[in-house]
Amino acid sequence: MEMTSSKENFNPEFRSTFQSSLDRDGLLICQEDLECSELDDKAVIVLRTSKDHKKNIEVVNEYFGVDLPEALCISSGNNDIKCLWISPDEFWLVDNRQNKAGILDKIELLPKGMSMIDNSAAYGVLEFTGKKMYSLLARWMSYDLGGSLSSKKVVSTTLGQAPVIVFRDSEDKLLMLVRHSFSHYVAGLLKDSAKRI
Amino acid sequence: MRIENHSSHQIDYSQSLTFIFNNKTYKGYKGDTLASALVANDVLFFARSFKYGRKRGLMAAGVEEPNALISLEIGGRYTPNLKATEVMLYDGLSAVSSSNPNALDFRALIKPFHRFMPAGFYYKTFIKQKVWAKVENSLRALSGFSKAPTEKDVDVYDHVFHHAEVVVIGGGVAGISAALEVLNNSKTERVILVDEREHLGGELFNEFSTDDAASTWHKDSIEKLFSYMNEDNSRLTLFLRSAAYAWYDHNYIEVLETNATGESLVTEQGQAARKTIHKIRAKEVILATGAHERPMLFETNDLANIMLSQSVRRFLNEFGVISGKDIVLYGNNDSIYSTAIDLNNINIKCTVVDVRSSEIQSEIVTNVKGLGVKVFQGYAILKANGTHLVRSIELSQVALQGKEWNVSGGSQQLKCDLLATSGGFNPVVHLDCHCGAKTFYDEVSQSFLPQKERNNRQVCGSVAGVGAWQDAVGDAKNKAQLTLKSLGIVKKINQDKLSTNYLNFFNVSQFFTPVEILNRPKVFLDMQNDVTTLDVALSIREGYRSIEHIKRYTAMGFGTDQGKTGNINGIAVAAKFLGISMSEVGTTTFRPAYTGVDFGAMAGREIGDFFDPQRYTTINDCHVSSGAEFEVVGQWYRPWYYPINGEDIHQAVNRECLAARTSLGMMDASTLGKIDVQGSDAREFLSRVYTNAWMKLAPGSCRYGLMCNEKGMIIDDGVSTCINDNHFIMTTTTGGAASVYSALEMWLQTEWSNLDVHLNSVTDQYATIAVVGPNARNLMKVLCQDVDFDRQNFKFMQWRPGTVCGVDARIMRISFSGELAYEINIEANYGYYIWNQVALAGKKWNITPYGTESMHVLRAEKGYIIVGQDTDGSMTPMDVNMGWILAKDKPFSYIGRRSFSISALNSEERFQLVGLLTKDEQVVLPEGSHIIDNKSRSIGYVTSSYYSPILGRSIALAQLKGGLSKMSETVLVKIVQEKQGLKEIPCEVSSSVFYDINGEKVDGND
Repeated sequence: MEMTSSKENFNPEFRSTFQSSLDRDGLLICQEDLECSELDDKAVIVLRTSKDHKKNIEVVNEYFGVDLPEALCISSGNNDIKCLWISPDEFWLVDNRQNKAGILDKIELLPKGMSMIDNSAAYGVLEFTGKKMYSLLARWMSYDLGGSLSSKKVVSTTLGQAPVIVFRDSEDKLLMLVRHSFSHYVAGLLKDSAKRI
Repeated sequence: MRIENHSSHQIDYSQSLTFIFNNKTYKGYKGDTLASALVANDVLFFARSFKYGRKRGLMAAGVEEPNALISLEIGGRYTPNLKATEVMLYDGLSAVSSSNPNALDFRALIKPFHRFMPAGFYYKTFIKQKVWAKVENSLRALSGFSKAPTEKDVDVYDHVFHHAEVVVIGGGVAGISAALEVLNNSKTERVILVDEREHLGGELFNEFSTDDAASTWHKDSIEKLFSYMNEDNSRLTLFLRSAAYAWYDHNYIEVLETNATGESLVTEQGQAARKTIHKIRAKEVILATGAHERPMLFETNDLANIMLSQSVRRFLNEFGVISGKDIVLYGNNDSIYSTAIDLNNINIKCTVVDVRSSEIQSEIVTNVKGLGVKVFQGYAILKANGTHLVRSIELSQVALQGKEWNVSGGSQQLKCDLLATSGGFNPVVHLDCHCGAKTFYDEVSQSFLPQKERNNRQVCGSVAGVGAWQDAVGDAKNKAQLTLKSLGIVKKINQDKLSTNYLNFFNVSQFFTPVEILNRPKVFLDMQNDVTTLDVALSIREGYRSIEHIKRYTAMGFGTDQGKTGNINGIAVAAKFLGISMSEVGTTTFRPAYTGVDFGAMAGREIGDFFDPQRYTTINDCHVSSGAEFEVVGQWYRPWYYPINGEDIHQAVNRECLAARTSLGMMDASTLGKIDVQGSDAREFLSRVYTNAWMKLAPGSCRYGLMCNEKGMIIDDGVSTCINDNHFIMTTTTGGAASVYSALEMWLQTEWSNLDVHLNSVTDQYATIAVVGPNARNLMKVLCQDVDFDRQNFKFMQWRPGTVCGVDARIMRISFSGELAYEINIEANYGYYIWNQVALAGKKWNITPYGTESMHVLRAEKGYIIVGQDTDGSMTPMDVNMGWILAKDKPFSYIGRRSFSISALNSEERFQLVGLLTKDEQVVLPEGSHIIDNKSRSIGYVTSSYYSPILGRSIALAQLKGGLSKMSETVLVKIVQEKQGLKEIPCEVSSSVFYDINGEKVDGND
């Protein structure tokens, strides 16, 4: 059997993080006042910054068009790229996959002390909407999503025993980043708990 | 019996329910508890006591009930040791007594010998372990508790986290008032109100028949509360049938909620958990947990139908039931007169016996006398008579002189079929004390009250010693105002002044503990554990002084009721015998849980698949469809082996290993930990954490590294790849990924913060597929044509970027089998696709997927260690014969280097890694078997052992004391063989490399 590795001759099958857990409509959960779906077109780039905070702000603004957020916050830039505060020297750039290459191109331009790595395949992105999303997440998450996670805030916490990042993109929507290897576990927890919501 | 036409406040007479208790069928109503329904059906005996097997009836109506222990349902729904007073009735309910009062009980036969079984009987009699071992099972079988479940629980339990600015615990008058006060005076603050009963109101229902203001206040307050509940995005969360059972630091409170039916509801549409644990974190807590009534003390006070006065009221007013027609009320406070009024209202005959003198003439006493109720003032009950059920009482005159009670005059008998007593009230301070708050003894109320000042907590109502419901409203408002101030919502607070005109149950007389009564037999303090006043006296005679010691010696306060009714009386008795004050005796320690919590509820949904995360690679679906068997490595589910055509593990592994050695195998290696190391000091960083040199590793190359801790012991190993001068990707063992990452971050952040290095976990970013075997190069040439796979241009321990079936990949030429091998690393989203493409292209060479078991065999044949299996945290590189990997001339030291100069770590007598070859080639040594010397002493153990199909014999790796100097010697390995028992297997000590000793296979055949 002869094969060729030129990209044009292949149509590689892309399997999203939660693909095996989704229903026929592509939803993880769909019931009254509660919906959970996967956003499978998101890229996650980890940006690590230097000790020169002023320089960090300049670089991030210039290269990515976003403000470097302060603690536990998100900032948004052009084309809806989002910059999530993860720790004092770690920020995650979340954007559409089609923009990933453009972001990663900036690696070469980063000054000493800053670095960047693609972690898009490592994380699946879940979107929660509906009035009952807090009830669902409260089954497994000790963080005060309703009281502390106001709009444009982000938190690194756990869902059950799985590490997750949760951020509030808008008033009525929560996004959760889940490590690929924990996706089966997380999907199981959410689907099981949804039965009792 | 059920009182006809009684306006009981909890019962829905339109919904009749059928239930079974002790194999008999009964009827009850919706709103009944199991206890109230049984009282309605004239069931008076509920269980037998724990120690003596005495028949017992109800004593209380709620969580404090010590006697009425039952087992609910059978099989997978069986729940032991519930209180009948806490189980809400549902149709079809089935329950049995924890210890059937109607069945023959061995303990009843030894009744004449009870006097020879005082406190400490078991300790003293069975102190010798040999004796105890013989009788333990028999004695435990005799105890009055339910048997433990034997079947898997089929019910569903849940956990939910909550956050609130204010949590109010207790849904009585004070709790309702406090919650409303907070809600009325705030705008965004979230309030959670918790109550263990079905309905809000607490003891207030008892006042409805005589106090219109009480029912009006209740109706208005509940309406207001529900108006808050019905708002959009309501700030009020209400938990009914919910017991707050633990209060931990930082106002973390756990609440156990039982659903409305007490059953799990599982349908196709959804589920309702039978019980839910609510985990609440609050900024402020208002405690309004009320008070439990305590009984009076007299001889044989444990007969059935001797109850607490307020519990009789509660059964009457909430459930419309009562268990007697000729009732004596006995106590030391005004609450018994309230019960008398309620009984009089339904024309039930009652008599009041009040230890207080006739000088006490409060309004309610006068009222009761005015109703024609016979009142004995200045009298006490010395004894209750009856075989199992109270039939009469013996009265005698008493008088308080100073702080001592004197019993005077002869006794007279009074017939009765129900005796209701009240010895005062114990504020429910349990929760407050769980996280360290203290109590103080209040002489006025004769009770232990919670300490007054405490951050972020208020107490109100009965728990704070406020006895009248009208005062509880004012007290709760005042405390809620303090809560609002603490939250910064109000600055100035208005404090209502409490009246002293209302009926206050906390106005009680001195504890009634005359020695004439305490020295009698069968004056029970703890009903559940059959602890009497004489047991307390004995413990004091035997030298115990601390109430904690007295408790443990007598078992007072043990069991499911945790001494809610008996402990304070026990403290009073101890104080009397010790000759010190109640305050000096103090209380025992209050610990969670306040009331029983089901193990199922504790587990919640963290059972089965959710007990521990199951982590899968992106290729998992391929493994499943290939019929793989899995093993758990860390939390990862890895393919163990791939049986075909009914193969067992040995047949499958042999086939897989031979395929990899002779043609082509493939393996999912995605679970290996991967850490991205970037920065201008990345090389220096690797040099410090690994024992070997990294400064000259060229981009495009890989290198194996061994990682030690500061003691010089091996903690991990793996291959790291140089992407460019400032960028490396480190791999770790599957199980060690998180701990290695954490340790490296710790070094970076605490010791080497000057290094320009960033670490990122990229374990999940890449799927890794290893293709292994002599045909690996042939396969790669088919899969990827933009890489030159010529052996001279793509050498062992190098990597190349390439495109595999249209997907960008990093291809590493590394091997954990000794064969020619490549590892294809692609974005995880393409793992499934590439695995299938590799399998498809590899068919030509009969490519065979293999799992972790074959991986172990292949690496053991080559003598490659697995950290954690062939090492145990006490092995140095020298111990595993890898001294060659210690760099000698690094400019900066590396972790562990200093320890290698310690002479003990260089001793030739240390355990050292060697190979073992059994004399009988077909015997596979069990891993963990000990190597013994000629005196049968252990001199080592087997770490890895397999059958090698390529060698046609067994092989093993072992840690052997001084092993490297024992080459070719014969040692004995002690194993246990099925049927044959212990056996000593002779083995030859060998090199740990069994196959391809010169390493010729790694370049392949071409």
